[in-house]
Amino acid sequence: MIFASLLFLFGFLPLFLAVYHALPWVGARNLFLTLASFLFYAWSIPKYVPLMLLSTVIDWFVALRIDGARGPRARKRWLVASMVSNLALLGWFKYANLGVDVLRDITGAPLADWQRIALPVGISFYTFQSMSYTIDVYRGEVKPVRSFLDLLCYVSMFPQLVAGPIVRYHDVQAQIRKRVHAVEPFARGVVYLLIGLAKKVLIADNAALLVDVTYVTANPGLLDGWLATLAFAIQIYFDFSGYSDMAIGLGLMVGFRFPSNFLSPYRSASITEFWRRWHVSLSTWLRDYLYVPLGGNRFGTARTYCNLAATMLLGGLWHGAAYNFVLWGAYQGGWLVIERLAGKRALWGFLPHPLRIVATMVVVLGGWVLFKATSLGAIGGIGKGMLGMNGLGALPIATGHSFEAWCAVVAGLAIAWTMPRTEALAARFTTRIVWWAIAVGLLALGQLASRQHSPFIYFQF
Amino acid sequence: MIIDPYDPLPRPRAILLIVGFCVAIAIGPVCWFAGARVHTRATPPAPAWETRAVLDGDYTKALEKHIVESSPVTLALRGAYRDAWMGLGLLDTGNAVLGRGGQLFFWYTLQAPAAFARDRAARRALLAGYRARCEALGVRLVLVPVPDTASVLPELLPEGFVLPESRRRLYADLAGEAREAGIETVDLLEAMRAWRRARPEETLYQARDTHWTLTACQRAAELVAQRLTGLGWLDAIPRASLRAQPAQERPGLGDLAEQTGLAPDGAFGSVIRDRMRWIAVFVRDANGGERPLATDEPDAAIAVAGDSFADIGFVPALCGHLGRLVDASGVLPAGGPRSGLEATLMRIERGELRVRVIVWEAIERSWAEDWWHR
Repeated sequence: MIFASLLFLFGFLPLFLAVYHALPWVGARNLFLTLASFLFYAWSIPKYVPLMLLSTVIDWFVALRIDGARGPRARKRWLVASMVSNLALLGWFKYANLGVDVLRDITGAPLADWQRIALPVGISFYTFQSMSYTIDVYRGEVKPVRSFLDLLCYVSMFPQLVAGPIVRYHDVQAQIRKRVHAVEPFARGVVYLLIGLAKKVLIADNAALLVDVTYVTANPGLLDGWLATLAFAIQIYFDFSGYSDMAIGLGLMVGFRFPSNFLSPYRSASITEFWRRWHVSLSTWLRDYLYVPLGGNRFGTARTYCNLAATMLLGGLWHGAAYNFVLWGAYQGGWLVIERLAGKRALWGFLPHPLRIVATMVVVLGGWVLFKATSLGAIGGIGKGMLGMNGLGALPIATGHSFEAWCAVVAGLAIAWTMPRTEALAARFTTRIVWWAIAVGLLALGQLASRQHSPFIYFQF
Repeated sequence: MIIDPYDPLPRPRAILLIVGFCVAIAIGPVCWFAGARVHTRATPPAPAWETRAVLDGDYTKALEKHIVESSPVTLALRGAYRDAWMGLGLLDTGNAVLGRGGQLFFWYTLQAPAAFARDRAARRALLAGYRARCEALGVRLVLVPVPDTASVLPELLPEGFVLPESRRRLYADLAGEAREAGIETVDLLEAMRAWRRARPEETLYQARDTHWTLTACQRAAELVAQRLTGLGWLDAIPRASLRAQPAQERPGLGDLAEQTGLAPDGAFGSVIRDRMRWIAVFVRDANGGERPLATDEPDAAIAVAGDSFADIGFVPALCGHLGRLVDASGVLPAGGPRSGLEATLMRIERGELRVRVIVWEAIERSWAEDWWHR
């Protein structure tokens, strides 16, 4: 089930909220939240529900063992057991197909009888969350939870289950046991939800109409190449940040506070800054659980660059088991290394601030080509077009809803560059903001009822 | 950054928002449990419980579609949204496009037919196969391709819109393919254009439905009857005692109107409703009694095979013009150009029909769709 669907908004959500708020104490609420989360998750592909359960059981058990282990070696052994089991799950379901493809490309012979494995929704997110819990217990940053239900509630919590933000256990540990349900967070949650819905439906889904027509064209020109990539930049940002807003809003409605995931990333003046603002929960996860354990910047300049590049490469691979995501990670890592070499500043740092933002955006767009185009041929085609090697080209034309598509791109860019973030709007809560949230929410609902909508992009990761 | 959601805010405003939100989203379950459901042509049936489908998530997907399309909330939201866009003059449903004079078109019938050239070889092989099967059965086959609205009424296309060249050529191309395969073909496009020029006041296509009017299918039937008579294919087929009667006019919501999603009872309800009129044919028996023409007429020597245009008015009209019984068991709406013909040929091969002539109705647009590899 996805948030931006009529069944969720007019079926699951009202029934869930009615029962949840009717329950008298937090234990019952946690139990109901967990059951509802499993129903929410099972709605996609029920046969993968046991996977999430298995991952949680392992990490709950391992965390208790780590806590009870006598020496550091025993603690480490249990941590390794958790890492191996989680990464094996993730590796099998996410990367087995890639492995077979690579083997085929190397040997030139496809693997006979290989049935492609469907990716369980949200596996990348809940595995990372679950792993972060055992690592934090190992590091002594959190105490292991005795109640299995508490951990299951944390891992399966539907508002952030399938596409983040990646919430760490210590962020919500206290809230699972005790949280206050009040008018203020609920009302702010509604604003978050409506704005998030509008971001996804009105902007991301409409901008997508300009992307798809160009990215299936073999040789787009200069104009359509750049504009379609810009439209994709708008699509992916509003799609994912819309989802995150809805997740944060739903969390507030049940008394949880989730961290912000996007801090106006397209206002960054360098790629380093971009990664502090884009998908913050993943960036910090990779920093704390990958970059720092690899040595971070503690072992000299060369090692720091290697760690940075390796972290981004793996970050790219986390997004998907395909060459283009590896290239995308390498591209981002490469830019981060270059900026480090330049003294932690962008190569275009000498420009006035607005131009630095534009220059950063251009580099980010180059990355989105790698992210969006699914084959090396397609990357080459779009790349050539953007370099003007296929001529000037023409404006991308959507196969329908062109007006909405262009409005979405223009409005998306204006919002990304000039508007306050959703949390600022929810915090202010003025009459005008509330009315705007209601208006765009209603418009989004109308569009949702009128057209086919794609699921969130990050559901596939 | 984590905001403090407990920061004070104007409570009356917050409570109003929460109450409004909760009441709004509660409409869905309230309608559902109160039994308020809607059923339109777009409503899929509730899926059957099947373990594999459940485990793979196909069941829940189908169930979600069923629930959403059965909900009055969906219909109300869709109607209000599209009424608003229509009011702004910006209605673009992605499926139906508003042309001049309120004429609606399926969007895809205005696009270049991408699959047409790709499937040419498969189609040629199938056409040759159909001709050979008919010859082996001693059956004569006549193809009646029905032109799309845009081919006959290009002057009603949206302002400034030009049909792609390959779409403009489609009718001539498909008729050419059929003739190359040795299949007798009735060119309705030229005839309809000529009728249009001679009597511009006559309506040949519904404005809010993709199908033709009674006038057009009567004229098409007349033309087919003339061709069959001219070819001498009717000579050995006995006449039947038939009575044709224009059926009563009734209001209807066309398939294109449904695609607009405009609310039938909304501000633009009158824009999407059509008045549709068809014909009914009665067969007289030896005792002077009458019965309506049946779909399945095993004694008929003529069969119509085809798609929805044949289903809407063409069979009784043809019956009336031929003065002979016509079997319509091979008329399968939304079945594409092949299903009806193959069903008819199979019935003849099994001895269930004693047909000597098959009138094969095929819609111009579906000729260019992905039917030839199935």
